Amino acid sequence: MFQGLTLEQAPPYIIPIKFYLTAVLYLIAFSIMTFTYALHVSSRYEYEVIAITHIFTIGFIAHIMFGSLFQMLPVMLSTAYTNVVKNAKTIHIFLNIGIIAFVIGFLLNSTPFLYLGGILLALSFLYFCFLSLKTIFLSEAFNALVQNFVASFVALLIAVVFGFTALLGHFGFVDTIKYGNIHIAFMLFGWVFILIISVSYKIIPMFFVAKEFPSFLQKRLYIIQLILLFLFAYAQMQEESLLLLASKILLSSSVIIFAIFSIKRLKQRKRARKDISVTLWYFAMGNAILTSLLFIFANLLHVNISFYIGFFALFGTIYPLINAMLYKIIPFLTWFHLSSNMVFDAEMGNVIAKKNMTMQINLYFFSFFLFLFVPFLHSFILLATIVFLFSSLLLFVNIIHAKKYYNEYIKKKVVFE
Amino acid sequence: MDTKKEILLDVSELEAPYPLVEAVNALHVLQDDEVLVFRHRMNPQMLFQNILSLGLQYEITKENENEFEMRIYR
Repeated sequence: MFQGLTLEQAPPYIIPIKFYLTAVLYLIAFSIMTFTYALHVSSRYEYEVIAITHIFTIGFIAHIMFGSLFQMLPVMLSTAYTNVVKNAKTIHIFLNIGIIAFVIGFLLNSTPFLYLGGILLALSFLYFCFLSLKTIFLSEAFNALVQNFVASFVALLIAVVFGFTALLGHFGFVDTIKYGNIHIAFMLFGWVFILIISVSYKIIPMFFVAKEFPSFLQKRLYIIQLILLFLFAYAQMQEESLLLLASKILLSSSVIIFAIFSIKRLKQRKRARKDISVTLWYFAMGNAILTSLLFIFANLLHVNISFYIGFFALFGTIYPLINAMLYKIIPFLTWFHLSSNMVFDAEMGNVIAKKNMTMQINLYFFSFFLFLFVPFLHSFILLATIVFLFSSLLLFVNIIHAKKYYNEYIKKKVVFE
Repeated sequence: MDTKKEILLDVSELEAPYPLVEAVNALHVLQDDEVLVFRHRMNPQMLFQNILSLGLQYEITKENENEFEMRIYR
């Protein structure tokens, strides 16, 4: 019989789950806001578009990433976050007030709200980076995976600085587009991409019985990506168009290389069973390649397809990948916390019903394909958004189910006197 | 340690969490005169704390791409 785990560094179960649930609430808000504003916007620079984009990027993506790191880093490093309960709560509050103020600021074009939101968001990100880097440097482990995490935090810090500077540009202090582009590059090609590759290096071999990623990829890709990002920033600031083009092409090439390796690893897995998460992963990686190619061609041919690139990057690549990761991480997390509390009859496969996961993912696929018809018939965006709203609601229900499962089983915990 | 009886545990074809479950079970029944040879396709980061908390010692004998082996003993 299984004897239980010893994992003193892991934070309480509720911390990652609270971040995940909040993230999905923003996904619901994203659907509602897209439904409300989609027919009236035409450029990515419109304030409504910036508000909707940040609901997705900060509201959804950042919450998922913070929640996952609060759980993953201590377990991998064998070092706990300092005062994790208090610090996670503080960051959660600051982040949420920050997002709400920021979004209201853009929707109402209100300077005080934009400043309040910008400051609170910058503080939340900086404090989270500080806490995570402190945890890393207190631990003795400094393997390739941890180095990848450090690189993603470096990218996040730089992205926050440029994002905040771009915000000042809305009031005429600096060139918003220039700083905004560097902010987006460091966020997407830096923080999000490096974090996704770091987590994939762990999750793909662990949950899919696949081979590990080649060590040159694990040890070198994040360094190459950071160097390219610095070149991009330099080229953008100095308006060196050739260097800017080259850095964009190379940044996209890194994404393509990673996507090809992921597909290859999944294709070669030892126990190739039918798994909806794998389908989602293939879908995300296919879109990552498509997005990168679109980005390269748009820059080479000077065509403005930024809406399509944004759609395929955020909705076609990052979202399904996070969705797939959640359906591996949450059941494992639930089982893992129950086991470390000496509750042994919990089954990972029962944490979230397979049928509900499949239904939610199919709703996402359906909404994605409806979005593809929007260029031909604009009103399709409303239908696609409604379908995605149902997908998000079901994702929320599925996470709640995991939490209920945990609450039910933790009552069986045996307390030794 | 050389005179100890070797018990082989190969979890390299199991998906999470079973490598961890099998390993923790084996650690709990490990006798003084036995050494557990643990094989996996990756470094089992979650296992080390469990090994130490049971007062056991370990020695990593192989750590390459897709190949990890360690010997665990009292």
